[in-house]
Amino acid sequence: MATELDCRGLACPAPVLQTKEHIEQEHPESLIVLVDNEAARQNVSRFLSTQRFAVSVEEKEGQFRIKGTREGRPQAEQPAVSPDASEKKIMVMVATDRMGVGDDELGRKLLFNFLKTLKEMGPQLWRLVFVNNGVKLTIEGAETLPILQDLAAEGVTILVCGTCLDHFKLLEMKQVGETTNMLDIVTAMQLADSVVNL
Amino acid sequence: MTILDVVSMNRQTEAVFRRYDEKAGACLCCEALFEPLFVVAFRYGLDLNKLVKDLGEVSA
Repeated sequence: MATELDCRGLACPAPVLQTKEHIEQEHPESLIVLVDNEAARQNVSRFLSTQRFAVSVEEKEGQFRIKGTREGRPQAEQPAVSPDASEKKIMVMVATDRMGVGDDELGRKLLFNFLKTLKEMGPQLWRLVFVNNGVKLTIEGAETLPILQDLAAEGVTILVCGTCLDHFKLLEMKQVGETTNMLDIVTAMQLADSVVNL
Repeated sequence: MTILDVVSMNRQTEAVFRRYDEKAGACLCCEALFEPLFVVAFRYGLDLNKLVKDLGEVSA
């Protein structure tokens, strides 16, 4: 039975903080959080996702019922699912805007094709992280942008290093994914079953 | 370190972020909860050094 946290009437960031505290203390398999504004809905949903909960939201008359269920574990409220390859979580970290060393033009084409082919991983492609020169693939005008936007639309979480964007003065040009920090990246590495580094 | 990280460690810092809401023209805890402080400062035109100093003062 999922615990229900009633966070209606609480101003940000209280709903997220209460959710965080509950997860840290009780380690629930599932929980329900009630909020009454869009900002809280977005923030609680996002927080639950970072904690490896699958999130679903129901809205009624401006009130939101956010349900979080632990991913990858058998749940009493879900149909039994036998473990299979689709539960594997692969993180791909792209730290460059070209693949390989030797010829830059070839390297850019190779990376373009690599990103285009990534969708063949299917649901196993869990996180796509861009750091250093890789962030240039996520900005307005990048040839790779449509590919990444398609992946994001299919549910792949794309993280783009904020420090790197700021260094290249590209913060406001990012067009896909979430701006992230090293804590998110290290946490993702820890949770992933495999990490592919480019 | 994100706004969430900061307020999680010390709830008193919420008041600091609320003071900066007016200057930012937005509710920082609503719209930028998961952003690192330097991104928040850049995006909303805030003085990062002053923000960090103010946060440090309530933590002392």
